[in-house]
Amino acid sequence: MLSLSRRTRNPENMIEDKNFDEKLLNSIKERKVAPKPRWHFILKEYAIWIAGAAFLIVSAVSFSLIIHMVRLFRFREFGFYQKAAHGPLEFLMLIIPVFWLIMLAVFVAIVYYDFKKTRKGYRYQPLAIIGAALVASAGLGIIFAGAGLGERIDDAIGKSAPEAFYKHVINPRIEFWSEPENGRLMGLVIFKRSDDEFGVLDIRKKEWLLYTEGSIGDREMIEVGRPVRAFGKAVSENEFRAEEILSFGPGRGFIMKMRPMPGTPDMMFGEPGQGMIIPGEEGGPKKFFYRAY
Amino acid sequence: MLPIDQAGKMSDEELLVSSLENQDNFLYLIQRYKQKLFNFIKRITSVADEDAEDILQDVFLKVYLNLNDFNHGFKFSSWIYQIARNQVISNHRKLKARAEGYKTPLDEEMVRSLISGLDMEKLADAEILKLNIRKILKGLSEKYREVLILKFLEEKSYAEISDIIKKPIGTVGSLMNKAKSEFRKELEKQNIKLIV
Repeated sequence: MLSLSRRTRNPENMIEDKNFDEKLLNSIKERKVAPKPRWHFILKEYAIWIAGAAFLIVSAVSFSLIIHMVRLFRFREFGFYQKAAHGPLEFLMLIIPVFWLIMLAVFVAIVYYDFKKTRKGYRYQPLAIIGAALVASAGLGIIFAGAGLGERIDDAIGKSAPEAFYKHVINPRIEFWSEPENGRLMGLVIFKRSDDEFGVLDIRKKEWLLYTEGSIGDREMIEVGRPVRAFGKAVSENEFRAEEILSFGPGRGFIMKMRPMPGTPDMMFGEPGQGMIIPGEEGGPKKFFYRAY
Repeated sequence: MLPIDQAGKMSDEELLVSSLENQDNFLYLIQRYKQKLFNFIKRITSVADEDAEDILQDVFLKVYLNLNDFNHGFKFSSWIYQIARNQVISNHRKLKARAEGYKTPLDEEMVRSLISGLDMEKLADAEILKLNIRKILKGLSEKYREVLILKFLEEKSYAEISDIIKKPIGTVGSLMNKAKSEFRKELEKQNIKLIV
């Protein structure tokens, strides 16, 4: 290849204005144009990096929520979902935390876009940046999940997100486990009648008497004021006989928000552990509800 | 202001530092780069000389405003070309409306450089190619035309091109290969015979 030094200049390509340089410099002086200060660019660079780090943390939180949604998933439940789902799409929505995977993808995309804005970010291939962001999110996410952050955030979202959004989009298993007619009961334990009989309020605010005698699983986890999940059979309009008590995973906050707040009018407080006592209608049986201590 | 002979011996980076100390020294950077950038702007756009000069003015204003943004880990020429390219892109709509036909500033040796770089010497009738090079370049999409111009007419390395167009070096390589392939297709489209 021939070098530039031997190139002959074509006079047609010269800048027409012979005083271009001086005019430009005078224009700069007249308009009092001054170079932006160095700190402006340093601050901008820091802002990009801080934003990137923030979104990386958020994507790690999404990853920790994915771990939380999947961790307590038991192999036996896989069979439940397979049988009960109305199609492959519903099945996938039940076993895969689709919402949090989408959130992870969105935040990783933002991290990628942000990194590209750094001084040398453009030098790296997109796959390398995305791969690194995913690995960092996974690493941090595992740490967050180990510290219980995913669980706490799911609790908070369950309590504060719109009900329909949480149970249909974020955690579709809530609906799945609220079908007593199909042998699946989920709700809040509102009273204890005996060691094997508990009152449960389901997500539709209907009361059930849960019989746990002879059931397997995590019976010791049944506690007034805590959520419960049972597989078994509805034996009447309001009674459910459990074959298995399952540990409660994602959705705890959603269920816990059904607890009535203390100080609610027309309620009387019972002894600690007994729950709230409210008079029954027309002098009928008293009802017990969990009281927040 | 620095004496001319002293300024002539200074590197671009040294002139930049001196421009920050004394505004008048910026004149030397303008003089050093005005023709190169003017030709570059003309090569990647299809605008009249007056419009190219307007863009060039904007480029130098931007350069002056952002002197403190220059990172000494980069080559100054890559940095200033990057600003010129960005200015062309940001003026794109305005430019397209006033396009007057493609007039890439080319001379004999540039054309030979391009033909040689694209391995076309034995494949095409060189004389015809020289006559039609502007049309061929015009027929290419902007991203391919740009890398060909930077590589063969501006004589930038792949690393410099990567810094100018802000893409990874691997991507620059891929673009270059595709640009060569598109160049050959454009030759055929314009009925410039390839010698087999």
